[in-house]
Amino acid sequence: MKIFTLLLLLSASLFAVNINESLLKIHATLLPKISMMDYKFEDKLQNNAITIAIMYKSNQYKDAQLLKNKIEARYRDGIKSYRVKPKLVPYQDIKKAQANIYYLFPTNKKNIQKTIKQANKNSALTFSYSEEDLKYGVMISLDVSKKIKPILNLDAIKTNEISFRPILIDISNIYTTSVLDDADTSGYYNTTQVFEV
Amino acid sequence: MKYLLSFLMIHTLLLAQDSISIEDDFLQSLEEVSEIATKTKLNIDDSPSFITVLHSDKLKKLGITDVFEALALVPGVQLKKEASGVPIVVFRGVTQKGEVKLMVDGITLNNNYRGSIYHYLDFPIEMIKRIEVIRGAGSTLYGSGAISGVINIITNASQEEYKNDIFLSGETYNAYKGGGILSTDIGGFKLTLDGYYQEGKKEIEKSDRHHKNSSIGINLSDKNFSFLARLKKSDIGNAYGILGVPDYDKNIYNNENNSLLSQISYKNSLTQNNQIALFAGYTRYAQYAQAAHPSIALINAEYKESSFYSQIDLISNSLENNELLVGAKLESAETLESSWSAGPPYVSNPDFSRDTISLYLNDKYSISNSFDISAGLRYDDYSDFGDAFSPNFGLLYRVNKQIRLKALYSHAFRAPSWVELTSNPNLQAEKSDSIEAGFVFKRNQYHVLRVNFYASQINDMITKPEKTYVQNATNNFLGSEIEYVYAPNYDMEFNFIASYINAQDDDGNDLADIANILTSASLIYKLDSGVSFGSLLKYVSSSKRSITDTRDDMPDSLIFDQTVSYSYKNFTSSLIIKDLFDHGTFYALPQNSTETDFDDGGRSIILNVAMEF
Repeated sequence: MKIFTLLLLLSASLFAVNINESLLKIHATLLPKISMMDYKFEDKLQNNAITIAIMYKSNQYKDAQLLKNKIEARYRDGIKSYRVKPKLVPYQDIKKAQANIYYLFPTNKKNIQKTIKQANKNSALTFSYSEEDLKYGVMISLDVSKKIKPILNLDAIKTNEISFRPILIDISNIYTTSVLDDADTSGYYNTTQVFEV
Repeated sequence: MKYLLSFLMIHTLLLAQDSISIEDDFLQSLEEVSEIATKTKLNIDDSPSFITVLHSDKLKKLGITDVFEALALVPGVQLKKEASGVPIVVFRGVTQKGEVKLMVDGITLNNNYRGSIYHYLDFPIEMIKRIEVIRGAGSTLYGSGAISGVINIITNASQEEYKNDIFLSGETYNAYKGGGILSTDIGGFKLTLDGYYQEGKKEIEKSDRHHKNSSIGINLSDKNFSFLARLKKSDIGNAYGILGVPDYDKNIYNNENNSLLSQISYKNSLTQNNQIALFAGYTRYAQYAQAAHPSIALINAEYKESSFYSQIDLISNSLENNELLVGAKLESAETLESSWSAGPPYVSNPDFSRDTISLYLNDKYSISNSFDISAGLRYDDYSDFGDAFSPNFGLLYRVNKQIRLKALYSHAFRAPSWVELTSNPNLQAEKSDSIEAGFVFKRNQYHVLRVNFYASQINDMITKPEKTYVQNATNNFLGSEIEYVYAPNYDMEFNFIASYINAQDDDGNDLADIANILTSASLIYKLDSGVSFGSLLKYVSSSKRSITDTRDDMPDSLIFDQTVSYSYKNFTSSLIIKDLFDHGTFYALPQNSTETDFDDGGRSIILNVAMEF
């Protein structure tokens, strides 16, 4: 039995955490409002709607649907005079997706980069479930600690000429890719760091 | 020109107003989501308490079927069953007789009769969103019974989201289960109805382990108002037999527990930094027990009690960097019916009433971004035995983004149950003092390690060495708990928990049937195709008998469960094999029993299907 268990543990490394539903609720609340922090968001709307493309892999369909339901339940009457329109987009259909903000469920680097490219084409924002994706150029994620704070990838934001309202920059943690002298030398934190500002 | 300038100024002012409004709105949303994170225990590592949250999605992938099984995944929790088949959860070595508080959607379940909670441990995982567990004492906020642990079952019906689904399952031992949930909108209120029924006809060596339980619930809520009610019925067979004597007639044994929980609540903001929450509730509990006992003849017992309560909580953030909770609760409980048709002479009928006044306050103060202190005090005055003070004090230090240090002191109590007070009216509250310290290391989101140490002492323990309950024992508990989570990507998660428990009486003797080491390892991995695998390995070390018991130690156990699930769109099916290697689960029988331990069965197979619509 020990061998059987060991085999299971080893084989697991070939496959690819579970999506936290409470975190989805937080994302559902903040997604449209973060898109409104872009000074030019009104110019980018189509039919007066904030369109959110929820990017998912096939085994994330239920989670994606859950996020869509949460956004719809929360913003049934829209925000101010704007409608909120979430839509599900499988990663393979990214090229057809037009949106104001692209929400990325965890996926591989290739899908992330394709989504970023499509977002750039539409001058749209990118928001990732996982803060680890910031290193691939996603603009925004969330830091869940004592208080919830956005994490902004300023390099990605500047590259795409997005101009946020100053309050968002003031309250967010800033992600950079600069190497720090005192940084951990192994793994993820040797090349990337999140600063509280 | 003037008009043009005026127009431009007004226009600019209006735009500025709009800009402020969007920003304020965003800041308010951030506050709101921080509250969600606290409420849903997303940021448990930023609390001085030691908390475990079990999410049903993950539990289902590991083949967990009910609350009792789920609690095995909480560090420091050992599962046992009495000879009568009644399940018991042992938190940190304390064999619960009311020392664990159980709540369902925040409503206390423990009755005054015996403080029992076992009749909700069979609640199916399909009805649950998550289970929040505070390991250790929690009387400052939760009152009596929160000595060794607090469990809060959060049902799907209590959630804000609309949910419609059905589930069905079949199992070996002629067991089956079915249920569902339905949500709709009625005049701006969300109405949710849920229900389930499960039955099993398990028999092992002619010993009756049948179970039959069901529940229906209703939840009506909007942003501020909520009404919820839940009826639950649980009926179990007597397993090996009651009072340590093997049952000789399974057909006339019954242990049926019925409960009703209901609550109406209203929450709103008084000012920007002050909130109020009002609660009023009614609960009812009934037990019908029938047993065949060779020396006492047939026992027929019937008991009913009810309780009304009202509660007010004020939550204030007015003082900078403080989160202050001040609250009061009034409760009135009484026995409605109590009878024994026969039975041992030392068992008598509890017939009580109890009025309780509780006052509490708790403050979390952030000295800096990295250092929080929390302190609280509760006073409970009981009309039937006396009063109790429950203070606590906690520290949290964020060394950096990766490391948290925690320390906590708690004083807790358990009010004597009415069965105990009937036996001995002079009993006072059991009291405990606990200190805990630990750290959390999150190297990144892939690796999380939580380690803690605790020492606690329960004074004035209520025990029944012979026929009357007495209060002269002290038990001491020392232990450590480790939790490690490795999630290299979002399709795989490995969890390892291990606990060391040293539970001794005041003479330094190990407490009977308490395992020193508990471990479990679980692995979930998902394929892109929708197939997922969940493996769960549980180890419980051997445990000593009481010092007067000459039997060998209770042997250790190793159980492996494997689950394979398949999800397509809104449909999910799963095959669960419990105890794959058929090692069997054994529970200790009382001293002087005619047999050593009793077998609760080995391998079983479960097939589940569920669909959301």
